[in-house]
Amino acid sequence: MTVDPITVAVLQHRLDQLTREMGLVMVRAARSPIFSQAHDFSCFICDARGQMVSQADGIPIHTGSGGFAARAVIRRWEPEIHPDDVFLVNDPYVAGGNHLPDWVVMTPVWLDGELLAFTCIRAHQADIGGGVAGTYNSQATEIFHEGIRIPPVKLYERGRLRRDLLELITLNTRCPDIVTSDVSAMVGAVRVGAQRLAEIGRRLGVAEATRYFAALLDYAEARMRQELAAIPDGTYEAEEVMNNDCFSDRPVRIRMAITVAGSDVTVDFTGTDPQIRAFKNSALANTHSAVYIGLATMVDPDIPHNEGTYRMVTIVAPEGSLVNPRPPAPVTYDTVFPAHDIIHCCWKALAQAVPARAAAGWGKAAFPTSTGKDRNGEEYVMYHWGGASAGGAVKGRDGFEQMGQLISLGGLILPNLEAQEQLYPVRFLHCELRTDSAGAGEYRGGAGVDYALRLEEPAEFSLRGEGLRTPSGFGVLGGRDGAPARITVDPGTPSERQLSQYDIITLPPCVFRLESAGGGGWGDPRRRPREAVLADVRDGILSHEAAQREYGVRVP
Amino acid sequence: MSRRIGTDIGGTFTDVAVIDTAGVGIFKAPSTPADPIIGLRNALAKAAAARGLALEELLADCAVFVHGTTIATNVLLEGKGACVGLLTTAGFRDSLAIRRGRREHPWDHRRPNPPLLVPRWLRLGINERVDKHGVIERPVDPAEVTAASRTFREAGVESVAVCLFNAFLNPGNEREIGRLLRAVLPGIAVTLSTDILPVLGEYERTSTAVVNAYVAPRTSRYLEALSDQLTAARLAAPLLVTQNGGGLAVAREAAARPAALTVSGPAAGAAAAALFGRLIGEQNIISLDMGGTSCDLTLIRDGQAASVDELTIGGYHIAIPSVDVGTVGAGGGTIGWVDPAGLLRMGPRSAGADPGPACYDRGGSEPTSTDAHLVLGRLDPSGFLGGEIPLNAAAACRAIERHVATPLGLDLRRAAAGMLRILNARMASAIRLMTVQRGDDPRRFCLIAAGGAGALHASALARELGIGKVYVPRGAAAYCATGMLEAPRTREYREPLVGPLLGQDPAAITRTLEGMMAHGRAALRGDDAAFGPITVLVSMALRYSGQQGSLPVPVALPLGPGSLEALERSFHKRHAEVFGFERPGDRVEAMEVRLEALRPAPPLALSPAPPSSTRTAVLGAAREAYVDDLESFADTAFYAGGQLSAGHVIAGPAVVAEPASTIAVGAYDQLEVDAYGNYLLTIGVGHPIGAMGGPSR
Repeated sequence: MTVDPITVAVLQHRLDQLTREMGLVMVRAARSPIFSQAHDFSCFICDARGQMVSQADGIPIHTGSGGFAARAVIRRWEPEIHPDDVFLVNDPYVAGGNHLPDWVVMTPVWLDGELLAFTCIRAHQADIGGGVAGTYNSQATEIFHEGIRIPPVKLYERGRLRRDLLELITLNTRCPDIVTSDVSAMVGAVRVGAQRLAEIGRRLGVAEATRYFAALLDYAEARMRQELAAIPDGTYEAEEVMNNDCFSDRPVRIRMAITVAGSDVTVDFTGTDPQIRAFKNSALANTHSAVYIGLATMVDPDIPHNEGTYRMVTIVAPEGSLVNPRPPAPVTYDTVFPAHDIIHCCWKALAQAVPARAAAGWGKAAFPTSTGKDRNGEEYVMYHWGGASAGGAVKGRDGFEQMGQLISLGGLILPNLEAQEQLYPVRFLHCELRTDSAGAGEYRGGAGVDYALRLEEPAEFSLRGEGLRTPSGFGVLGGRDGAPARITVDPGTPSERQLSQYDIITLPPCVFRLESAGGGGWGDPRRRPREAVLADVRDGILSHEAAQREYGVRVP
Repeated sequence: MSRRIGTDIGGTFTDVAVIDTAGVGIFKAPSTPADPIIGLRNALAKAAAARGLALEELLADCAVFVHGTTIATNVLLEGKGACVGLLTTAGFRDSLAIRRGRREHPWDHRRPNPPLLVPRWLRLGINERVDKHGVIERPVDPAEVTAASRTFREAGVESVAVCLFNAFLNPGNEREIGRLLRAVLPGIAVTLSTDILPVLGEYERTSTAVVNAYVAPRTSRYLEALSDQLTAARLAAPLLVTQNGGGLAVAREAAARPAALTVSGPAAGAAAAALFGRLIGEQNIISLDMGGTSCDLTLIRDGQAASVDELTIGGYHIAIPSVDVGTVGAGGGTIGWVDPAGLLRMGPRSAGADPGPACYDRGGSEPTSTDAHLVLGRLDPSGFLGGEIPLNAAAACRAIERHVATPLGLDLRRAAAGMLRILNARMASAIRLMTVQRGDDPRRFCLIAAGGAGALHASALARELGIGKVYVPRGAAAYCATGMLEAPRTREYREPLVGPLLGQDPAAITRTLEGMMAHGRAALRGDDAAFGPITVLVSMALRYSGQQGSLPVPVALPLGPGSLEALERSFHKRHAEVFGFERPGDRVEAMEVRLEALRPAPPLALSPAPPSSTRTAVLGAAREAYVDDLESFADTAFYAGGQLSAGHVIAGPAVVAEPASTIAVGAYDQLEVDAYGNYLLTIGVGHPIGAMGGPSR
């Protein structure tokens, strides 16, 4: 049976728009600023088998994980999935979750007595209980220290809220009121989505709609296969080393072998280190998402991101390893680290296959969060985004100067420092690009920043200095690594000191300085045009010595 | 002296609308990007000729002359602005380069950010500081400013922007630097961030001030040249320019704030929508202005144009409140193509005006939406503008056959219909998002379709969105030029006022506002007698503690005991309306006070015409054409706009050809010419919405 190519195109627009519309409902109705400002959520549609068919609204690291949650719900509840049911899940081990703070709410779309699809939303909650406020417990050694685990449950049974269940869940968070309103915003979003999807389904009929959902997946697959077929066959190996396991400076390795055979790809993590005690293990759903970002960023960005896109990708993730841990290993940091490391592995491997598309590494984040009481005695949690790291270079452009995390590809907006001064008891001293931090290259990496503030009141710092000590923005094709990050307390005074990479410590009023990691360079620095080197020197991005040393350019 | 002239320079055409005792006249001439004033003079010359006047006679009798300009936008997009120097607080000169890490297309990580408008070596730090409470902790050392000026002078800097950390709390140091710069760099334009935008956010203030500095010199030269030429051609009325907020400013004022001219033309769409909405008694309007390269959407809700606090143009962020102009890359020139996996795509590339659609026969070989309409029999092959632009149907067929039909294995007509369906799906998505974003349902709105191509798509879009009523102004092709004649003269003022709302001093706020009000009144009193009396709108921007954005709430003066509590209550209510929830227990903070002084334009005397003697329609020529709601070809009645007058009623399927626009009427729609000579389209009620996807049956 053939499909009409025009209808496929029109349906793609409609579903993408529908997921954006769900996102707007969420932004309008949610209470936590994490949704309206940081947009840390994703809306998506899955077909009746739990295959994600559209996710136009969402952050990249959520891309691959949606289907896992939907399929977990289907496995657990079929054949008791009824109209107006609403499901809730978060657990990475039994419910296809990526990490506990991301809760998925989904509702089935029934039409003429048949299950057509699910509309779903995944959103990072303000708090989920666990060892520390704000969902990230760097000292966790079991998932039980990270927050409440939710298997696939029915939050609404045929449209009726199971209030006791919701109360049980929200009582296990530090802010039941906020979480309750945010969950109701999520429910609102999937319901709006379900109504609209039913309208679309009604116009086409269930059978046709199902057929066209399949066509969307096929289309994405065809696009991706065309891209992959252009990559030379072979096996490309790569390794990325984390310089710590959160408790010690022990190296933790991710090994990856990407085999391209025609338009099929196998990503094999065999040889990756076993799971670790700390929260940097990657849940399987998250490992898939990170691999998908790694691949998608090497091909045409115009390809839609649905589950068809990655059909030809086989992921081998040994059980008990860092990228597919056994319970009860903690996983909360996985959407950042090791997601960043997994993406880097994909880039390093494929750089060998398609050098023109090689991407240099992005500096790893090293900025902490701090909590305390402000002058009014109110509790605050401050993310030190002003100390975020820089992006790496690709052929044709230098790396982006300071950016949000690689896993959002810059989709996350850094706050203004003026806004943070108003909110928190800090005074910023400076935040400027950091000389000689950018990895040298024909295209250079982005420069990190030199960020410093005076702490006006004591505060508890949750240190997550992944990008400290060793370079993380790797160079490719002869490009150099970006500088590692560095944290200094009270610089230039007798009490000057460095801090551990991962820790929870209380700092008295002091000067806190973070020099963030630079991005890697692309290509041989000697090929960088002399004028571009001199411009960087004139701009103070590059010192005279580094111009001579890295680029062989003597500054007149 | 009652003539009013609106002029709008678009990417393809320059439009002129003239309203005087002879009625409403619409004139178009091709735009001349190298020197836009030439195209404008050509269009004005046509207008004069049509009234049997010399250009000087046309202008001498003009009481209101309004101009919508693309100069600032073009300077920015083409990278042809001034050499700019930037002064910031020492230690904070890189927010411009970091851009808060914002990327419009995250997945497309290879795409570079737009070029920086100020290189780092011309971004200089000054050792000064305003603390977080607005206290000047360290004043400006004039020697540092002098040293920086020397660097700027040696570098050939033509325009300077200043943005200091925390200056929104106290602009004193910025103003001091401004004073020093003007003294040591005479003739160099100086933009202070707090003059443009006294609000929190060092990145947005810097970016906006820099864009302003970048486009200022060329924009003011252009406006001066235009003003001189018009004066030489005996225009006595002041040259008024439409600003992003939709209001008008005299050219010399506007030249000082050119960042507020970046959507100058399209912003007039809001006034146009309000004008035509008034004629049919509609307060909720979606306005769609579809030209050669893009489609501009504006939303009027309860009579008020939807606005945004920030625009992004060419990747540059301009945080100036503006009419929310949603731009979709969907126009008559939008190119259809088949991607490598066999999906039909429309845009984002456009054939624009040059070379234009394949059927223009000017060297374009790729199929555009105009070619699709032509193949589907909906355009008069004798062409637009009474034959000025003839259309070659064979060229359109060839382009679609080769680039769409053959690769997809479809016949020519289905390929052409598919192109339009995809374009419609994109526009409908954009409209839905614009309304839903504000918590609205598009079905509550009336659609006003304008531009050369708007009314070709309006019926299909309305059906798709569940909208029952479409209004097509007869002068649809010069929509914004007409609308700007109804726009008010405006001046806006903003002052920071940061802190807990209930901790403020009502008397001090009243004093601040009264001072602003005096400025506003003085500024508008001036030289344009045609406008109505001055009114003033005052609001305070409030937010819940911890929120990033803020919401303006109207303020009644003078403030007295209990006023702040009343404001707090209004804020909760407004927050619930806009965002769907309120938090009555939370602390409410003030951010700034805003004042808008405005003088309304005298209402346009559009008089209803007596109905035509027969209410039955004249007969149109019958031809075969594609009909949207039948999803197939059918016998269609063709009319020339000139055949139809007030009172005529036409049942679909039909096509009405105006000189520069075309209206497609679905089989179940009804078209009526109203008393103003405009077209009112009622979308087939009760008829099931066509199968969205299925192959045409």
